[in-house]
Amino acid sequence: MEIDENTLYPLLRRLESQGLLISEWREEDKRNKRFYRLSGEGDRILHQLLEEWRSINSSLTRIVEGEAVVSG
Amino acid sequence: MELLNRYLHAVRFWLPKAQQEDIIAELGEDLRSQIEDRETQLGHPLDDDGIAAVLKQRGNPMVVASRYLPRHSLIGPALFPVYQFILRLVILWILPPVFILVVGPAAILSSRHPSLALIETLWTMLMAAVFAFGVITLIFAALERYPHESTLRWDPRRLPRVPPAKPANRPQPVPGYMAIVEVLAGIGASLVWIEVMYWTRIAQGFDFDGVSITLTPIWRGFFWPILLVALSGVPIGLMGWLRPWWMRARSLARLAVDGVSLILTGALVNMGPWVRVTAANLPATGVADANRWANVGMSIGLGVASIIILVDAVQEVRRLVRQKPAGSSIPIAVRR
Repeated sequence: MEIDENTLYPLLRRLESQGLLISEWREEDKRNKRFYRLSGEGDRILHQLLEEWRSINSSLTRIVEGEAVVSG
Repeated sequence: MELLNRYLHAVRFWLPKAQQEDIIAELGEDLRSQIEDRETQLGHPLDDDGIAAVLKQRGNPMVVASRYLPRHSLIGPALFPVYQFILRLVILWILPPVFILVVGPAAILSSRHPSLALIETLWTMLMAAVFAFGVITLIFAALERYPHESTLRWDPRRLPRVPPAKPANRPQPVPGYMAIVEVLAGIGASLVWIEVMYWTRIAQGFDFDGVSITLTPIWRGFFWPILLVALSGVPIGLMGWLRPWWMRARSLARLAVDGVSLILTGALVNMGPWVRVTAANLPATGVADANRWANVGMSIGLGVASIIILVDAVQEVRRLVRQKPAGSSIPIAVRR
């Protein structure tokens, strides 16, 4: 999935300021790079959001398939 | 990489101080990786044009920096409609009438250079509008930042009741209490006018601390017409009280009185001076100034009175138009 860097990096910082991500600078291929990973709170929120997404997804699927039956 | 450094320096300017170094380090690293990837693709180092293309694709430094800033608005979506309403009310409906009806005429009539006074008035009105805009914006920005507890905690039971629906396009008879007020106002106005003209000090002048204000003789010719206009409120009010369904007749009577009132005020406006100020203990220039200002005030008062009468006349015309004359509609059931 393509994400514009101008959106991605500020978003990562915002999530870090909310305590959902932890970041650290590491050297890789002689370059200093910033790596992000989920915090404990971030992991909890991730599972919560995934549950919500699955619920919305299944509701939408039912609506779309229901419309397909009606129009078909 | 001088171009890249200039770009990073431009982005840094707009970033919050506490995060500048960290963000610039991350952004710089990402841009260098992007430039390297492009060079690997092309098989040769990028020149300034190539680097400029990469930076242009990333975006304007100010826009890139703004994405790292916290998201907040000066006046949020909840308060903005109220802010917009207050701003329109003050700048469109309060300031212009005040300046056009009061400040402007006072300045123009009392100035030796009316055209200059007009320009000054317009400029002052513009500055007043700018000042009002600033003050209102500051107040709402403060309310946004420090919301009042009433906006945070509210009770649906305290919301105002829904007003009863008015029947569409049907004029209502004057309420009884309004008709009585009309009668009393007519009597009161007539007594005041008689008192003013014949019985007391204004006929000979208000006199205080050696300064005397009198009505000029032009008013004597208007005594009976003004008295009759004031007294007209009594029969019209009685009609509204005793025969509230005579709405058309009442509107026509009010229109006639408004017409006569407009003629009287128009005639008065074209005359003048309306008052005379004399003062034994003031120099001649002071007395002249006092006379000028007193008559300016009278002219403005007559102008405002004319506008009020005109507005009342327009409202009566609208009432007349909305009232159907009796027997104007034929029932469909009659036609076979």
